[in-house]
Amino acid sequence: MPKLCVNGNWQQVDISNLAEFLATQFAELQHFAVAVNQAFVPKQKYSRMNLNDNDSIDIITPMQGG
Amino acid sequence: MWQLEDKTLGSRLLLGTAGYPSPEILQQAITAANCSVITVALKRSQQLNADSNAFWQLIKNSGCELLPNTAGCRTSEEAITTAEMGREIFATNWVKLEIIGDDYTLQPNPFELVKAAKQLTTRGFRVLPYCTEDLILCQRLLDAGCQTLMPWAAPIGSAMGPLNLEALQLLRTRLTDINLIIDAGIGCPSHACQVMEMGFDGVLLNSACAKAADPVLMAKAFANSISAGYDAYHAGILAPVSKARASTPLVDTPFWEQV
Repeated sequence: MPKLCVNGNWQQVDISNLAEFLATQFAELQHFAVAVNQAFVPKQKYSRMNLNDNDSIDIITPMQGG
Repeated sequence: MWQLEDKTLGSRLLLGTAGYPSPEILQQAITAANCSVITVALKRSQQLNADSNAFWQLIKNSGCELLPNTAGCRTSEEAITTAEMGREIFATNWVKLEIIGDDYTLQPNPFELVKAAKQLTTRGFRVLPYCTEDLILCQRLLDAGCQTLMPWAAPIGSAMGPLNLEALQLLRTRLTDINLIIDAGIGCPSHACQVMEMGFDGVLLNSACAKAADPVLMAKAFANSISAGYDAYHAGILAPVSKARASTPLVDTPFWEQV
């Protein structure tokens, strides 16, 4: 069960695949992108991305900006 | 109409979407500005909320081209990652490249900017860099593959208007074949008009509109001023001289005496 830093918050999860992790915790999020350990992960690679202990995941969504 | 990157646009006002009193006022300001491009940003999402969906709908319904920025980035690596995420979310290869070098002035880090621009243009992005008015930096950004440059007028949000007119004029004089869009530091419509009268191609602003007492009316004012400045530049502005020039011909006016 890896311990992950998700958007700056540590949590223990019993999922080790990125696609599954997103499906359980961010299932309703529609417009987003993901970086794992500060590296962008394209959508088509979610299912092939394994999560390891101490990985950092950033779930990024749109916001207002100048 | 004008050509910006791979798009043909109507308005030369590019509008930022941050800091408005409400989403409704933002929407009304976009309409009043009649702008063709709006800038957007990215943030970490803790969880789904109605606000993020509402904002998505707002920007999609605006009919504007979306220009994602890399606000908050301090290194080329951060900016490149942010740009990639922006491309995936917003389905555009346009990116407003912002890499900040100083917390007080919020001025761009020129070294990281060039490094990131090279990488991003190689990856197929159309990079619109927020830069300073330094001619050499601008030339290096063009060498890196940028086709549009966005030099600042003054620090972000300062509302001071164009500070270094000589350097901005030099940019316009030396870089004739590219779009130059003034980005940052604009405070009032006359600032926007002033840079358009210098021959710049567009103005990107956010705080000057969002933080106005009436953002919707201000958006309209900026649209008018940018249009006026553009027309004035192309109409040929009378050059100033240090002596008077009578507008009415004085010969044979009543009481005119020949010397």
